Amino acid sequence: MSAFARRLAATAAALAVLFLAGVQLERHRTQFDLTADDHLTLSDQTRQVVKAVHSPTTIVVFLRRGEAGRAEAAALLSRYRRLNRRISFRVTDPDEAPGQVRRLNVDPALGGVAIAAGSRSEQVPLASEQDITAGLARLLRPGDATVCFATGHGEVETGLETGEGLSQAAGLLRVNGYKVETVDLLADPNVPARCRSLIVATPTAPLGQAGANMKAWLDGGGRVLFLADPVSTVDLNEVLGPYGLGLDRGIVLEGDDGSRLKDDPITLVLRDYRSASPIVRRLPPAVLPGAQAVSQVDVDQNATVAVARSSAKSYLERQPGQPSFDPATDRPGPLVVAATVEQPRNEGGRIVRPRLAVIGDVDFATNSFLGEAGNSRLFIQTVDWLTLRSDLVSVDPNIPDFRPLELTRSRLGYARLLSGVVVPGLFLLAGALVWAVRRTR
Amino acid sequence: MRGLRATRATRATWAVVGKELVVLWTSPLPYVVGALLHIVLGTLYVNQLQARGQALAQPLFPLAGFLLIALVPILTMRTLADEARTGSLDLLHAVPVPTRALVVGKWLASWVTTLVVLAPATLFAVLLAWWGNPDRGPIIAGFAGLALLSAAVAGVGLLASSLTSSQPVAAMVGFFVALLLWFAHVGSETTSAGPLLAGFSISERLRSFAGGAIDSSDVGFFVLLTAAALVAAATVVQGRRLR
Repeated sequence: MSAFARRLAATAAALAVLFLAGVQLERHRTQFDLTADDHLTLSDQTRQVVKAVHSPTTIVVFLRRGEAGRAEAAALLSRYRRLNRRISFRVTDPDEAPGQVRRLNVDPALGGVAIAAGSRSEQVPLASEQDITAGLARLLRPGDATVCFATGHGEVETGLETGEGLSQAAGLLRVNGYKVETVDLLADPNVPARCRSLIVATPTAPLGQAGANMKAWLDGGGRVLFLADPVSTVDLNEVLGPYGLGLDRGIVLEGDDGSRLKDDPITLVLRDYRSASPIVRRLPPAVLPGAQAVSQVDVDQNATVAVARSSAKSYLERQPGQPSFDPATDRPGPLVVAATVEQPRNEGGRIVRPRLAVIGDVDFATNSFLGEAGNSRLFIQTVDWLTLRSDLVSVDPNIPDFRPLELTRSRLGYARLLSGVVVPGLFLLAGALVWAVRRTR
Repeated sequence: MRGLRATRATRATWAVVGKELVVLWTSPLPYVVGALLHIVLGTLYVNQLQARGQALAQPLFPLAGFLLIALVPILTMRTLADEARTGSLDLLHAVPVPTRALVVGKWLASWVTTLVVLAPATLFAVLLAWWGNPDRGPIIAGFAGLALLSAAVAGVGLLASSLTSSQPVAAMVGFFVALLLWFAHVGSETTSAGPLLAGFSISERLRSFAGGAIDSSDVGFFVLLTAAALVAAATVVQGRRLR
């Protein structure tokens, strides 16, 4: 073997060693997050959730080529993978994978993220830590998450397949991994312990003892969604009042053309979601055909959140028979039509988190309207928020702080002068000096 | 004996660094490269700042990184190619300068020169801190990333320079290889070898630094890439010596 061949062999061996070292480094990587707010580090809540993933789980982010956020999504998901190798991920263009989009039940127009393990999948709107962790938590949720629909007091029924029934809403919950049951609270006013959350859809008869028991269940950490409606005359404030919420009698009439269906002041088109609540995150406009207003009392103490409002041109009409704004009796807009409250407390070392959501309309979730606009997502995201264990969804948004920079005209000019003239000028000047010195020698 | 040889090699390396730095800085290359780099970088980055309205250093690093892959091969093109063309490489082979010391010394001089050329870009960090409240983490990590990237690209440029006696060819080969590494991740989602290819993407590695993260695998990648380029360059030079 010639010296050169030996040298070549040694080089090949050295390169192979370097390659293997790279592979090992890739496997045992350590990251130092130098950002001020540690936004490149996954939160402790996320770490807990990720640790609990014991089966192969794939996260697919649907973002079109050229759309912003693809690299950021990949960077975020690689942090999940680093914590648990059972998690894999892809960033896919929905236009290039229509089959996957359908199979994973993702809206091709809006995109989003699908998290799949085995035959189950969960969808979340954004490739953010908050959403992905919540989605993983939902996927980890045991299969017995039961949503109960209250019956016995004239509530809208899940068995009803006509336009005014809730059969499609119940079906939607089943598709999303929930068990759905009806509980007759007239026959037995106690909310069964197996119910993870309770939906009360416009009772038309007074709740009586069921109302008191419902409140006690809520106080003990229960989760209740009230779907109200202007046609119901039942007073729900016995349950809502202690939680800082109430329902205002009357019907919301919308005066803004962009916030209602054409020539229909009763049917609201909700667009104003000025809330960070997961219920309305990335929610398209929703259609509420006839809504009551939700009132908030003692907001600070009860941490109520107004999740959706009508426009400033709306008002609450107390006498729908004579629709005209009367400042003495009617309430001017904007009006809250959906609100939530969470009231955690420590009870002997155990955190109890009652959660309550109130939407001033039941029709949006009925068979006639569930498929309209963002109605189904409003419904499912509300139930998701209610049903999930709080420690699995209370992940902070974990986004970098906004650091404004006021670039006035003079500052801009200064920056341009420095970078475009002074620094290059100094380089050229130094070069010219060196050239001149060399020439004189 | 081994210790003595190591000391000799270190001395030889520093001697090559010194000689190379003098040669580089008495040529017009670093000055022209520096002026070009800062005119383009400044213009593009100030536009980014204006568009974003935030005290962000992050956009600076991919811009500087891309400019470096174009300009560093110009700085390294003559290191070995010119020596081969003028025949001075044969003279060097005649004196007891170990090949490793020669290659490392030339690379080190090119890297130091690149860092000096890049240094005025830190003025942007000063301006940001003066006018706003930037996050210092991404600034520190981003410049560390640029330093490592320039080390790797200098290694690649040196390797290209060792392969030919033509300086323009060396610059073009160096730039082309660096460009391939920059875009290695493009299309990686559609092939089965995608993740492996994406692992070689220097732009993706730099992005991690620019975000404020120092990842051991990114640091290791740049160090190993530099080492691989230098080992290969040393083999080429040694091959010439043996011939």
